[in-house]
Formats: sequence, structure tokens, C-alpha cells
Amino acid sequence: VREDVLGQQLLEYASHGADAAAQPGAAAIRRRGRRHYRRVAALTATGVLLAAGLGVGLGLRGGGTTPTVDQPRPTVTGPGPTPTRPPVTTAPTTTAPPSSSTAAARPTSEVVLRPDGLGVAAFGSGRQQALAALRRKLGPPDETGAWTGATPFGTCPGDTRAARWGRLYVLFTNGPTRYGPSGTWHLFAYQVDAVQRTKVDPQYAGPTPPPEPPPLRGYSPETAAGIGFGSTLAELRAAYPGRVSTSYGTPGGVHRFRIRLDAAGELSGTLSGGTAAATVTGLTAGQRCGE
Amino acid sequence: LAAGDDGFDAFYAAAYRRIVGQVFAFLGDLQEAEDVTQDAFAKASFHWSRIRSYDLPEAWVRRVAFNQARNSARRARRGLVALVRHGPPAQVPPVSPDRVDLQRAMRQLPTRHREVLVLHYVAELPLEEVARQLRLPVGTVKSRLNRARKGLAERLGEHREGAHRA
Repeated sequence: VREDVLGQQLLEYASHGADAAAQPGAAAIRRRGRRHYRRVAALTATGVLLAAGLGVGLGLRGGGTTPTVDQPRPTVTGPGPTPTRPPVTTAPTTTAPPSSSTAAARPTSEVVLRPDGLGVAAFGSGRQQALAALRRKLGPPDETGAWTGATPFGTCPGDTRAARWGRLYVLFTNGPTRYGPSGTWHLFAYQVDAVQRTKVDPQYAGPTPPPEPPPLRGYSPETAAGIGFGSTLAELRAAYPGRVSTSYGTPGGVHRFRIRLDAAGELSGTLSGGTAAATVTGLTAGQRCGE
Repeated sequence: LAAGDDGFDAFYAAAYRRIVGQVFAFLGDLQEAEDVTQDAFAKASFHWSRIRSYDLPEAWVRRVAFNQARNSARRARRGLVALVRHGPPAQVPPVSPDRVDLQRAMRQLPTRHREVLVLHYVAELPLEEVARQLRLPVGTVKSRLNRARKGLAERLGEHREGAHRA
């Protein structure tokens, strides 16, 4: 059996089953989830009560030979907290974080590299609000900068400001982007970088390349799948199977990668080479500034 | 916040048939595949506030579904549970003789071989990801895949030869 023919036959076989399968409504699935966890909680509570009862029984039996009254106490107090467990299962779906669709930005409690922002602050968030959220998690930034026209990140849609924590640059603009209108300062991109980009003079036009900017170290966030600066291409492919594409060439003559994440958007960046052992040297998401 | 506003419904609508197809290819039993898949999505709905922040929530659901499907001890009981829960099996459209052969051959393969075939060819996961999901070395996955392909080819050959003789 040829490999491609086998793959095709298996896919057809699977899709035959998928087409014939019944799909209950999402509400029914949620109800089933709640039922399942009520059962689990009840079983857990019963198990703990049984174990406690067994412990009390053994303790009482041992009490005849041991004069200490305190001996059974730890097992008697065991079931105390368990009756409070079942209520945990009662309202999970009503306490979910606010969101309107899978493609919409969903805030998280941690700084995570995502196609729709940084977890604690989504693209389109106001500058002050985003900075406050990032400061709460990361402390004050290592540096900040402001540019009009050309910036070290390219020519951005309007005036540009950046804040940096370790390797992470966070970019804001008051120009029009797909995340926010003109005249409103908002978060529109981030960039995890190898070098201190802000040491590059965007207006530099000398006959030789500008001096190499200093390398960046320190804080370096990752995606939810654990991919960040220094991850290998093999790790990238394993974390995002079938979603990573690579290219080499202009601009810059560097190896690049792109991770497509459905409606949520994409992450992209640069690699140290084209082999599986090549490492991520930069990672960015949001609206790119022109070169 | 009303249920259904948190993105789970859209995720479930988009991913259900993909997962149920993969589990069906693994188990060879549509009703059981539906039951296992719906269980996995039910668990995902319960943990959705956490799972939604993953880059690939579908990978989580697939892993849960396959773990459940793999538990052969549960399967006999599950057949009864599924019958009680869903009633008699759904009408599956008629299939070609080739597909019947494939279904029969797949069912005759050991579970560990079927699993790598489905994860690699149907879920289209690279070998490294199959290894990660099954917590096996990549070399083991490669050798299982080779043996699975060989076993499937042999069984398909036998079925087709038998059909010609008949």
C-alpha cells in the first residue's frame, strides 16, 4: 500500500464516519460536562467519607489498647472539608471570562505571546490600560521610547511609542491600525528580539551598515505552548503540528517562520537557520510596521 | 454571562466532526466514537475557562478522547452505556467494498498500531507530535507505524484475495 494512497483511504474512512455522526447541541454537551463532574465530586466525597469511616473504625478498635484519646482525631477531621467540594461543580460555565467569540481577544492572568495580544492585554487595548496591566505583572519597563515617522521597528502607522521588558518590546501607536482608529493610542504589536532594537538609529544613512546593537537578555515570555526565544524549529513544529511554515530570503536574507492559528491570527518570527536545530531569534505578532 | 458566549459553542461546532472522525477511524464503531468524543467535549466545556487559553484546544480534546478510547477495559461497558444513552445505532450510509475491507483490516490491527496510523494519517500529526501525545520515543512511533502499514497491507491483501476467490 503506497503511503499517500493509504493516507487518502484512511482520511476518506474517517470522514465517512464524521459525516454520519450525530452532533448534539453545545448546550447538551455542557450539561453532560456538569453531570460528569457532579458524579466525580460525589464519588470523591464518598471515597473520602469511607476512608474516614474506616480510619475512625480502626482508631476506635485501636483505642482499647492505646490509652490516648487524641489518636483518632486526624481521621475524624478528614471529611470536614470534603462536603464543600460538590458546590465547585455547580456554576463553572457562568463564571467564564468575558468574551464574544473564539477569534476575539481573551484576557489571561499571565503575559503570554498570543496572536491576539499578550494575554493580559489584547491588541487594541488603550495604551495606559495595557501598560498598567503589564506593569502589574512585570514591574516597570527597562526602557521606553517615542518616534515620529521612521522607527527602529520600521515605519509604523502613526506616532509610535514602545516599552521594553527584557527581550519583549511592546508597541503602541496613535495611527490607524486594524486594532484601533487614528487618534487613539493603542497596543498594536509586540516583538521578542535578540538585540536592543532601540539602539539602532532609524534615520541612519551612512555608507556602511550601522553599528551592531547590543544583545538583549533577561525577561522573555513564551506562547501558551512554551515556544519563545531560543526554542528550536523542531520544538516549534512539535508544538504547532501542521501550522508552521518557513521561508528564506528577502527582506534581510534571513530564515523566517510563521505559525497560522486559525481565526485568532498568526505569530511569526526569525530563525538562526533552516535546520530542525535552528533556534528562534525573534517572535512577533500584531500589525507590522513597514520596512 | 450567558452560556455560549465564551467561545466554547463555536469551538465545539468547528472541531466535533474532525475529532469524531478520528476516533471513529481508531475504534471502527461510530456509536462508541460519538460517545467518547462527546465525553471529551463535555470535559472540555467544564474546563473551558482554562482550555480556551491554549493555542490548540483541539489537541487537548483529541488527547482526552483517545485516552478514553484506548481504555479497552472500559470499551465493553461503554458499548452498553452508549446504547442506553443514544438508542440503537444511527443509520450509516452504505460503504464501498474497499472501505469495508479497510474497516475490517483496521479492526484486526492491534490498538497501538491503529492509534499511530490514525494520529499520523487522519489527524495529520507529525511523528514528533504523535510521540509526544503517546509519551513514546519517536523511534518507537516510527517502528509502530511501519509495522502498522505492513499489517494493514497484508490484511487488505488477504481480504481482497478472499473476495476474488469468492
